Amino acid sequence: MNTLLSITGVVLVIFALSSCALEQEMVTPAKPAAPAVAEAKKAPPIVEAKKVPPAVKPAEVKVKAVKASGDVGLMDLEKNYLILVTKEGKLITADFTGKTKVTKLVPQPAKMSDINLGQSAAVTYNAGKGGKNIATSVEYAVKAKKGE
Amino acid sequence: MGRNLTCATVVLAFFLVAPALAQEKKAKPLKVTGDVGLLDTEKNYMIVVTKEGKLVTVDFDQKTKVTKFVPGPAKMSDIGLGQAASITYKQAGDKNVIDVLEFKVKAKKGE
Repeated sequence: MNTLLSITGVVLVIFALSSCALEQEMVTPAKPAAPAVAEAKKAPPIVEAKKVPPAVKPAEVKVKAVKASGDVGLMDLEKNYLILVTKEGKLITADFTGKTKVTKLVPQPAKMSDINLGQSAAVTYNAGKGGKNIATSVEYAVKAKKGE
Repeated sequence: MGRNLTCATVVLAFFLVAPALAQEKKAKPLKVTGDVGLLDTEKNYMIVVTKEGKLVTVDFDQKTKVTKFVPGPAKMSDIGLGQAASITYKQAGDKNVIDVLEFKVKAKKGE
């Protein structure tokens, strides 16, 4: 009788323990499931946002203006092109159109007081005795007024 | 004897003066281009700042010839061969197209 009671007691204890373990197993996986669902709900808009192709910007190709100085080696007024020979001996072939702005710089006598600060100038001078440079000529270009 | 002495003196004088003459001949005019950083019309000197940032102090006097270049409209046909010019152009495909062309008109004699 005692043996039967003890066996029954052991079986009950085992049953109780196993049921607790099953309950824990059922509760534990439920916790991560909740954020997963939440993420699943949030995820679709993000994915859709990534799928949207970025706005295609028009290719802005800025052509830089190049400046060159030299002597006119060839001028063809029929084919509208010229060849400029630079000081380094480089030949630059360039076309001109009706839009090309042609400006002549006419020399005129001036005074030193006419020169403004910051103005670009070309000075020819002699290195005199005592380290003094004495200017023989000063040339400067007057900037065109707006609208000219 | 006296004649020989005179010849020797002349030759010696030549050798002494020759280097000085050569130095004077070597003094070529220099040219500097840049922006006018300072202009003192009372003390008659100016400082030119070159593109490289070098400062060149130059004195001037009444003999200094000052010329201003005044821009004016022109045509392509006004440009002569060999004339100095500066152009600003842009590359369009395989061609260079000139936007601006400037050239200096040479001063007439007497100007």
